[in-house]
Amino acid sequence: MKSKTLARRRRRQLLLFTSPALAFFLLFAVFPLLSTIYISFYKEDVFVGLDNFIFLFTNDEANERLVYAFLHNCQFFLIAASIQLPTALFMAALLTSGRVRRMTSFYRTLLFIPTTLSVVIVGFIWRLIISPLWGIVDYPLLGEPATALPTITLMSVWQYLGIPMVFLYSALLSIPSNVIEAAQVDGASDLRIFYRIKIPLIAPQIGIITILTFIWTFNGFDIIYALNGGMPGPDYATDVLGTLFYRTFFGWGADLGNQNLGAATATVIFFIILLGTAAYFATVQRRLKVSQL
Amino acid sequence: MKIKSAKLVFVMSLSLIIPAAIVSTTAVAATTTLTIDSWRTDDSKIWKEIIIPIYEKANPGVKVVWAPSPSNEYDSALSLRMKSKTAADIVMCRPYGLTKALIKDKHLTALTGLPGLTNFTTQSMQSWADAKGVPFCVPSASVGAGFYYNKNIFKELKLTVPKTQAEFIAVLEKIKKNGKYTPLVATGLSADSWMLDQMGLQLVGPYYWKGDAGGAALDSGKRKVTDPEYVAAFEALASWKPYLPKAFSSVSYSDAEQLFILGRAAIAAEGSWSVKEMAPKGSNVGVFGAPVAKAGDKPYVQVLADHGFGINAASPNQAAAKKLLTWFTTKEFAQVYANNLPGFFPLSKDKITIENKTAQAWLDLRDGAIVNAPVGMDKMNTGTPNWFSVTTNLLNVMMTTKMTGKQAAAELQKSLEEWYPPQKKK
Repeated sequence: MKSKTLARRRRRQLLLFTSPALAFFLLFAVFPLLSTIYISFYKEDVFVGLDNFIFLFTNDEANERLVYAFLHNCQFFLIAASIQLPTALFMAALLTSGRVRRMTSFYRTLLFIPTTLSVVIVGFIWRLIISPLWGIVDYPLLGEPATALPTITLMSVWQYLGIPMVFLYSALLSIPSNVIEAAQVDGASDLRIFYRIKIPLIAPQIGIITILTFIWTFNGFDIIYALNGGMPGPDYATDVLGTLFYRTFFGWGADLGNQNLGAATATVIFFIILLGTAAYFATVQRRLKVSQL
Repeated sequence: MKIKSAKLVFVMSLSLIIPAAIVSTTAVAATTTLTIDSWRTDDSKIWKEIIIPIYEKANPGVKVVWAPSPSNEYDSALSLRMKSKTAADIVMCRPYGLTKALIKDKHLTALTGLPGLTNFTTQSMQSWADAKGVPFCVPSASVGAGFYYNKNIFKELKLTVPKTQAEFIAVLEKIKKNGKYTPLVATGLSADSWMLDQMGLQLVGPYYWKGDAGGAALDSGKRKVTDPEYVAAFEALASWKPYLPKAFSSVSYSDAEQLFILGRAAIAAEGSWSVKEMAPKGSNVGVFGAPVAKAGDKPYVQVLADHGFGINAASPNQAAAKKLLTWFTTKEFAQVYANNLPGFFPLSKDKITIENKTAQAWLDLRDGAIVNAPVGMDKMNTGTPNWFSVTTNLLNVMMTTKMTGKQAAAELQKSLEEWYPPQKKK
């Protein structure tokens, strides 16, 4: 009898404590998402079923833009993941290695500062630095289709390096020192300790960072919009799904927005991210077990 | 305890709401507030400190609020606000596209019979009228496109202002040979490629496609963009390529302006709206129009309708808004506007004197010239992919790569044939 009331009280407490977060989540995440999907089935208040999606995938012009934007996103993700993650790991390993004897917190702060800057400022500063007219590079990096997207990706990598670094830094710090000491007593070199002990122990964090990078880059919009506007060139070379959605939904220049088609684009983006994330969790993350100590 | 605190919160929030409600109702009773939505964030100071006070002084009981939003976001923001009935009482009207869409959806009040509209030509009203010619906006300003040139550099290199396309290229060649200055600045960064249309193709083109007649021929499908007169226009623009700044594909609009202002470039393809930036007090800057195709041709001058003002159909202050718009048609307003916003020229028939000499030089370009409107901006802009987006993108590619004028024209024609009925392949 007593335990039953306790259990009920506990359940009530749980509900009470989670309800603000739940309400917030439902109101600002689930509801907009569902209403976006709902709008995408309409055309100016008339229900048209899958017409908007059919248009996106079969109209030559629309489909070309969608495919290119998707490929650019893949490129954005691959460059970001292959440069940001190793660099962040290197920095975090260096900061926790004991090799940096003084001012570790100073370096840590320094590496994190760009993350706190506004994207507009980061874009503006970098544009000036790499400007052939006023800056130090003699090549129009942002003006050539081949280099424009990698350049913007690197700006973004530079800005957000702090986030994966702090993740990995705290993960590395939480490795118990007795494990490391035992390995040292056994005669393992620093490099061996790093590859055989530290990396396996922080593998789940590396996995989480990879998937977060995937989500961030596929939702990427701000730095490209800040630098190249809503029709990001040259010749759409830096157009990603985010800017494609913005242009479709809100319009750009003489193009007036089409809310229904924009909602359909957003839904497609949502499913791309959903499938990518689900595939990742189903195949990779499950195998990355937290090692038992 | 719980009940008490809930009551307390309720009472407290009531005490916050009630005074606010009282204050706002009294404010409405005393004055009518008219809000103006615009994309001219740069002009905020002039509106707030000069133009609005003149009107408020003459019309006690009316408060005018200038509430601009950034130019790139204006079109989408305004059409959303119109749909949700939250737009300002008075809105600044873009020529063609957006305004025509707002008229179609009945978001603007028809201005039939507004006193003062007789002060404008039918031509200046057409970019803000429906298919039957009913006006929806008071035309307020037009702008022009052409070239600024640095008189000091011209003097140093003993150059004269070019009149024909051949002379123009010869001047550019001389500046290039000298090597000290960039001959000509324009915008190569794709984000700013609207410039290559407005101050490029539309500037040099009218000589080849014969002004408005050429525009009408495309609109009606009688001629194609691949016909020689249009290809020649593309080629005339492409002839600038050797004289543009280095690393042209990364030169933004403000980079181009800076190069000219700093005296590193001799000529700039620009618009009258940047008089204040390009020709500040104390500078030695002149203006010339597009070079004619061959000597003896009559010059063409573009008059670009830039903005007008219309009334939100959902506004509760229709009468007050109409009164303000009537003031916008007067000579007093035109005079104040022209002198405080040099480079924006009133569209009314009144004789206006302009104090800024460079702005006056822009206006002088219109003397004896054939006035024409830009091509493609009306009918061919109403579908997807629209004329403006395709053209600006193609011009950017043409000017930054090896693409020729002929190829660019062919691409443009292809995109028009996809959707524009008069141009569709039969």
